[in-house]
Amino acid sequence: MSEFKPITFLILWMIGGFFSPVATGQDQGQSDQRADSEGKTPEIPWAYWEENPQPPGEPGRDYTPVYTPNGETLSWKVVDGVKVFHLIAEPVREEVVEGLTIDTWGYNGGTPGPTIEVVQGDRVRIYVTNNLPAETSVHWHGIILPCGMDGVSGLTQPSIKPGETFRYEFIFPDAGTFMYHPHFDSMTQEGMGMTGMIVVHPRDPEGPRPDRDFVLMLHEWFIEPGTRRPFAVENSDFNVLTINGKAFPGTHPLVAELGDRVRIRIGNLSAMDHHPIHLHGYAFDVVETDGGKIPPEGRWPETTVLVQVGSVRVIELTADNPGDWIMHCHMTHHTMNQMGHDVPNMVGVDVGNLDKKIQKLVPGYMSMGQKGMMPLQRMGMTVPDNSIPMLGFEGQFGLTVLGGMVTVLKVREEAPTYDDPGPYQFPEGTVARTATQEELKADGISVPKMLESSRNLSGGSSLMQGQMGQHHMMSQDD
Amino acid sequence: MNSRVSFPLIWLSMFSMLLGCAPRSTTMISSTVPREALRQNDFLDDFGKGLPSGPSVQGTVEGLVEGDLTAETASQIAVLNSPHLKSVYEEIGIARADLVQAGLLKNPIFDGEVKVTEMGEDAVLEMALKQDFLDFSLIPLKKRMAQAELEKTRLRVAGEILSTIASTKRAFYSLQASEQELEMMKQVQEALEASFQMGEQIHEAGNLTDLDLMNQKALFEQSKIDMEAAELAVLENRQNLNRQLGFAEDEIDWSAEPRLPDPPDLEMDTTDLVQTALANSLDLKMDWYETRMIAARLGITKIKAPLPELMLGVASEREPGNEWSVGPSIGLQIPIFDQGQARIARNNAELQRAWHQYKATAVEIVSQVKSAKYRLEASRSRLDQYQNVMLPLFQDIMDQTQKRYNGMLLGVFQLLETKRQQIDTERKYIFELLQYWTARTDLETILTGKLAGASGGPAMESPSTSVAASGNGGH
Repeated sequence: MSEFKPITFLILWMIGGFFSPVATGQDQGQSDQRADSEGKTPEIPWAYWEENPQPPGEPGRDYTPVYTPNGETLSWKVVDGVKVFHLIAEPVREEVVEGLTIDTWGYNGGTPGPTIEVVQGDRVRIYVTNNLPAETSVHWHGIILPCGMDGVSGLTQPSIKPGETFRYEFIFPDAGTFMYHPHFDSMTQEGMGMTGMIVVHPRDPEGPRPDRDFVLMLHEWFIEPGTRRPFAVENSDFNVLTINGKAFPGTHPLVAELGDRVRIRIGNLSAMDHHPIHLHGYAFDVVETDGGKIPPEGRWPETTVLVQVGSVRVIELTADNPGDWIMHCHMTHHTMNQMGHDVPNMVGVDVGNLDKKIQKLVPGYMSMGQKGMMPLQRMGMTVPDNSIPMLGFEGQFGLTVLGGMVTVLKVREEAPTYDDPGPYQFPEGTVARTATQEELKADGISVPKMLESSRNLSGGSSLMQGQMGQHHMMSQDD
Repeated sequence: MNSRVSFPLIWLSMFSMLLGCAPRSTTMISSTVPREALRQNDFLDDFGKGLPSGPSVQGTVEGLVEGDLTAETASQIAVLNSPHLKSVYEEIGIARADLVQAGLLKNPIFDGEVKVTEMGEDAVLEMALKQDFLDFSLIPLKKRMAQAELEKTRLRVAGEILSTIASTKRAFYSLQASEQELEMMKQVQEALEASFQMGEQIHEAGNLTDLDLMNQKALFEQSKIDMEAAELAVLENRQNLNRQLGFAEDEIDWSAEPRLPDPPDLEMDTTDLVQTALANSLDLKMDWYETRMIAARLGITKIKAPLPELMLGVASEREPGNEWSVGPSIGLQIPIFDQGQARIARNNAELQRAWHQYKATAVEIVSQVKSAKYRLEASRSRLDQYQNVMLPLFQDIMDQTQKRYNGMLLGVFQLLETKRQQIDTERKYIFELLQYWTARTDLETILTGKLAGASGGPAMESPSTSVAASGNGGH
């Protein structure tokens, strides 16, 4: 054996190092098939993308852009290979639905703020200007990034003072659906509507792209009827429920063509309440959360997906059932617009001639509530300015008491765009209708007599019938 | 004629002729309304020559009662028809008679004696005729006294007329206010009744607790009690006014205009208030005539001090068997024990007292007219606040509340409670309006010459807030 030289050892060490995991450049991407480390110190999650910078993802080429009903996607420009965004935290004026306009806080002129849409691996630089009177910061909910970019005032960064512009820079390491919101005075600022969605498309997608890709942000508010400022201190009596900042019937429908693969991404930054979002006409799979993709064998079929506070749920379905399908929070109080609670329980009360008696003192008075709620439009009475108590929905078949966290999935044979195609044209004979006497007889159905009290209540007061002139007449044929 | 008899008779007749030069009384003049009372009350101009009496009064009153009474027509009726005033008018007649009496001399005194002798064949005859001569010098002073008393009486009667007008107006306004209050309490009662009946129906359907229903019932029942109080106030005020108008119970069917008049656009001119009040004051003039009267009485006392009584006359006598002896007679009181010092001192003190009373009355007038002015101004200001701010505001509150009710943001109980609060504000306004008209009446009365009798406060209690509903409406 010749004498062992140090230089030999050095060369051998270098050769060995060449085959080490670091040299072969393994990434930690969740959807990546590259080899993972075995028992070694985990790498920084975005390390791969740092070492393998990608060209900024482009719509069309790299992804089909998502659609944010009643909203928009945040624009960007590329500077030296970095996507540059500008978020402006500012007071905004928002029309929640016709009849209710609010002054609140949001981003770039709206609440929620614009959807941030990127591709996995994109390096982004997001400038955040604070034009609020209060300090703020932005947290990128669900994004794995350097802690200093996490956006928690006091903990990971100083807060953004009013007038300042901060600079966030990081790489999006994971595909998925996420959110952004302040982290300074969360109760107030999130409550006021400072929220937004983030969509990260996969760099190497599996399977075909969806044909329709919707982004929805759920939110709940307390807005005292007659005021225009949300009251973020409220923690249980929320009276305005919105999807993308709009209350039904102000929500833009989700439009799909028959056969389309439909993906719906739902985020929830309500202060206190989860929302069980129920879709009619379909059973769907819950395919993704803000934690990541759910493997196919782990997917969960539902007709109602529960979206917790601070979570995202993504569902997928194939649009094989044509029609107008309502999609709504199944909490019944969340489908009412600005319902008040300081009323006596009037259900089933026979008011007799009391209305006439009270009209002598209060002209135009009408007892309400004996039959439950009625849509505001039906009653033809004036309400306080800038309020929408019990604002209902007028569809092709009539008025109904429906509002709040509701939208409609419209599936048509032909729907080339996301634009509202109008009400569904129901094929002849497919719509439920009153049964004829012959039908009842043939099927041996005997109709029990209505209770006297119910008959009295259903007829309504004479005043109401008089007022019904210009609205739909309420009769048993509706 | 027997010369023995004619001799005294000649003296008598000569004496009598002397007496005939004494001033005669004037004939009685029927009483007329004192000029002072006419000056500031337009309607009394119609009766300037004299108030109608007897059947024409009846006719005038019936005419006035045909339509709804106003404060003015009610005052006219009171002046014509009040039995109290009628009795007061007669005092002028009494004072006039006293004036005449003051100008009359005392009647002469004839003394005659026949004393028959023991035997009965002859008699001693004595005849004397004497006259109180002090009277001659006293009559001018006595007349001055009686004249002052007459003037005082005229002024007092004028003052009574003004007082009657003021009392009638106050009673009238009180009646109007209480009638409006009753109307509003009826509305409050209706609101609470509707609230309670609604509560009953809701309870019947199984939607309201027994306790909540009882609370509603309590409010309603209280409102019935409150309304009865308002009904009683109307009845009492009617009787007050009847008293002023001189109507016995249910004698004449009358009704008052249902609403208090609105305050006039232009407020009373209150410049030179004190000068006007002092210049027109009947009370002040009365006090002045009082001093005049006492001064005259002092003059009389001073004349009578050295010579309390002086009788001059003719005396004649005939002894039995003698001829008549005739001659002048004189009788006088000799002031030895009572030189009239006490009476003079007394009269001096009375004079001083009257003078100070005069000044005290002036002070009272100045003070009363100023405080009446402040009350009027303050009341007008509050009234304007109610009219321009509070009433429209509560209407807006009612409208907004109804809009919130329409949106089912509050319930029917709260709606009716707000209505009750609106009615309460209207009640406060009516109370303020009564204060205003009362203050105005008081000021007008002082300015036309009469001090207010009682402190001129209103005859209606400040409206207590009608029963507050608890605003039940929660689930």
